[in-house]
Amino acid sequence: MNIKIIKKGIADSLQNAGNYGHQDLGIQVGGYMDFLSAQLANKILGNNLDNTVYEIHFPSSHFEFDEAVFIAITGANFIPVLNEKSIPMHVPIEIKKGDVLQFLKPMQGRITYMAISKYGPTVKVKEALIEQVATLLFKPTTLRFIPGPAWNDLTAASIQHIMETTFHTTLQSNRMGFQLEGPMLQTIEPKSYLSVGVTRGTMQLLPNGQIIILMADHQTIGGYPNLGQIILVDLPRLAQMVHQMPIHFRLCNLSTAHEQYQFIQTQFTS
Amino acid sequence: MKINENDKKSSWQIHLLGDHAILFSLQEKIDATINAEVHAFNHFIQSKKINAFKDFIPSYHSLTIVYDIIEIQKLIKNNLIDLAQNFIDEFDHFKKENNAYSLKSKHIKVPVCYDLSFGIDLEKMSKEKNCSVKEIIEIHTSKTYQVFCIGFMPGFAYMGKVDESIQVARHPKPRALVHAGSVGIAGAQTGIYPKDAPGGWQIIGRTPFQIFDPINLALFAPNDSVSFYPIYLDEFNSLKKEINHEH
Repeated sequence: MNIKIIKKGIADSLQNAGNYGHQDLGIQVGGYMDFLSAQLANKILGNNLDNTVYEIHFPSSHFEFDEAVFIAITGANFIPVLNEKSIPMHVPIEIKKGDVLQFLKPMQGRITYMAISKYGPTVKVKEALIEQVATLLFKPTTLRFIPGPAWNDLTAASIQHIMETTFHTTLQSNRMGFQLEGPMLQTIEPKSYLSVGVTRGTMQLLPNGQIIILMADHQTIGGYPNLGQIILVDLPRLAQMVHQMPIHFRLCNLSTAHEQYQFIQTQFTS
Repeated sequence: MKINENDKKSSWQIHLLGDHAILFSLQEKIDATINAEVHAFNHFIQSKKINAFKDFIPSYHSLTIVYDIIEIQKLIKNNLIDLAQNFIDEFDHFKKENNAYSLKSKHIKVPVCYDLSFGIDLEKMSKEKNCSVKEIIEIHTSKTYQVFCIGFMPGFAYMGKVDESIQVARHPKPRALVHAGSVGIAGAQTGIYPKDAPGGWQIIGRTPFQIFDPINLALFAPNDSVSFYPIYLDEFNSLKKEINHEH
């Protein structure tokens, strides 16, 4: 597949479902930040759900296609235009040789996804799935989490802060993690922890009393207090949050988290 | 590495890390016996080749297993905690059946040039610890270290334990640049920077070895044993040239 980048964007990359199996050697998993949008883009084209996709930030690259293909655009809405004409998201778009794709303006969300296929899809994706994904991505301000090993080390006031205060996203947000802004949190007594394995969605308490939530390119082990982990289906919502978005934390149990994930995956695979 | 025979019954604790990982942990301390138990447990579970398990992350006193939410449902009978507990029970049983079994690991001898131009913290350490630079080198090279775990950056091995007489704390403020191959000490741990990076460890020398590259991946694996031997600056340079040639 030949795609020319006419003008380079600030942070565009090709991403897959992540490379598992080497974290014991300190090698990060990586992969797409928002699996819902990435899978949806592939589903729209009839691709394998975990095909490699373009992960695009704003200002984005300008792409010129060297051959006829189909694309699908999902995730953040940056107003995609093809040969300077507006095109819809969440549908297969037929591309001719020489077509130029640009994105005009960030309207909603942080990352847009583009899947590519040589062939047009044979089945239309259900409108309900597209709506479900949109709801998960952009509707609530809540992030659900399951408490982690250091949860009980927090002071009562800190636990109350997490459950009741509005936190905000900050500019310290990238593929490794999103640092939040909120009330100062602290553990009952100063305690040092030995480094242990962390995962995507781990909420670490930084020495400055703020929370960082680990994202796709996180380190494999970490020694900051592990307060909890955001459940997988809510991580794309965080990934799509731009600067200064409000966040409310809600407790979640394991079976709900698993049911939600299984429910959405069933929609994708049916 | 021998597993302690008296330690038949495990004291593993289970903690579910969110909705897609399980943390198994022992007593929280940097200890060769505890760490050996972690690697034995890791090896035991990996040998079962369970599809649902995507990643295994051993550290000093714990093993984190990342699982696939869909696949693991096929294994769960009651709940996930029970499933995790079953692995611990099976491991305990396995240990009983196999008295003090040995876990295979490789030994790596690492050449280190302790020249002061590389060992930029040696002179300060020598004053602080009240022992000569020569003694620091002798003490550092006299021990065989265990790779407790790998992390911080791809291929960075946390090794220990460093002899108490040369243990020094990290720099309070990390250096902006520590060169690839730099050998450092941080408390009871010693390690080698796989690439140029910011870092706070006290630097005592440099190895010409390539610690990590994208094709051969990491030189060290968890549970390997490592020893260091001193080389002169001209040996460092010729070894470095040879290694660069191969890569």
